[in-house]
Amino acid sequence: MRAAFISHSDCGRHDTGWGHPEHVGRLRAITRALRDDPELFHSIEHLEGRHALIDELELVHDPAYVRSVRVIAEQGGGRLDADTVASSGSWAAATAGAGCVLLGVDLSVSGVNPRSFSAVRPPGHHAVHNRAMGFCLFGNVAIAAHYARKKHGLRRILIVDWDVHHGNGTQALVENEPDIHFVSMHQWPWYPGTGAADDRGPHRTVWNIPKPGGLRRSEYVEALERGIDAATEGFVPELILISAGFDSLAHDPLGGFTLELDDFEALTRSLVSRADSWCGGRIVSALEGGYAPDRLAQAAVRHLGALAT
Amino acid sequence: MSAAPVSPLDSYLTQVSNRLGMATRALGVVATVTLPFVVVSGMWE
Repeated sequence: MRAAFISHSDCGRHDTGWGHPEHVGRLRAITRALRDDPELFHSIEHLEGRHALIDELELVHDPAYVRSVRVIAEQGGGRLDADTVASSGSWAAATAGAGCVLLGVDLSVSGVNPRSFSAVRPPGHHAVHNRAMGFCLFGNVAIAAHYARKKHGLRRILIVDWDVHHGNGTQALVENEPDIHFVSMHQWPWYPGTGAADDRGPHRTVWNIPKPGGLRRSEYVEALERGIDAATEGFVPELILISAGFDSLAHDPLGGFTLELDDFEALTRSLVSRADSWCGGRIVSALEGGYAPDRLAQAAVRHLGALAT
Repeated sequence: MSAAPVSPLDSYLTQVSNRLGMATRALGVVATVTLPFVVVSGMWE
């Protein structure tokens, strides 16, 4: 029962330019850091993902929006929102990003690789039903949640989002489904300006944990653990999805949280332990933010190491 | 809860710009000090 590291070479084709914080160097840094840990490198399964199908993207996105992303990429790219650009390779990258996470779901449910981390870009948790937002084109984790229910017949899914920014897109794309519980800890006040603690969604299945920057690390860890406790009271998930944003690390250029590598390892171990008791250890994790490439890479490797134990 | 969200790209570019400003100032000092040596050593290459 090995953990899987899933990625796709097409994820590098989303060309945002080196001046943009969400650049391909983020993924390169992760693979470099992974090679620097030969024990972990050889203990995990290395897999190339697949491209998500249009039908799969349309589990959460407006068909017209999906079409527009494809057309913009075919025309050489363009600007999708104030922060989000597309290049000619963005359609291939974004469908590969979502497809990697869907492969993670397949492997998890089948028991081949119950736990996986998908190193993908563009990230997904800000993308909403009909538009791109905040560097995100398609809601990778939200798609995976609906896919797990539709394709594999799972019902109860827990999504944990520890990116420093609120996962507004994921929330919007899952909050109407009462059997998907969503926990997001994020900096406040901060982009995108959503994610109030009293925003519980129409079925009260959303647990938002807004926190100011600069607190002691332990306060963030404890708050997120409490949020997960609350979200799983009387609710036993059959699958855990993680929106693994590592911009909550101290010194990230886009965040003010103070988390360290040890904290991501500890949070991951805690979720592994919970998943072992709830759902045969099923965890599918996907990269979201994290804009200091070397630090992001170190955190991703520690996260993967904890998934692999 | 609503707040005027600062675009993450703007936030990043502002920081990069500030860092670039500091780096440029530092490089300016270094270049001023080292330029004669660079010129001299370059003459013989």
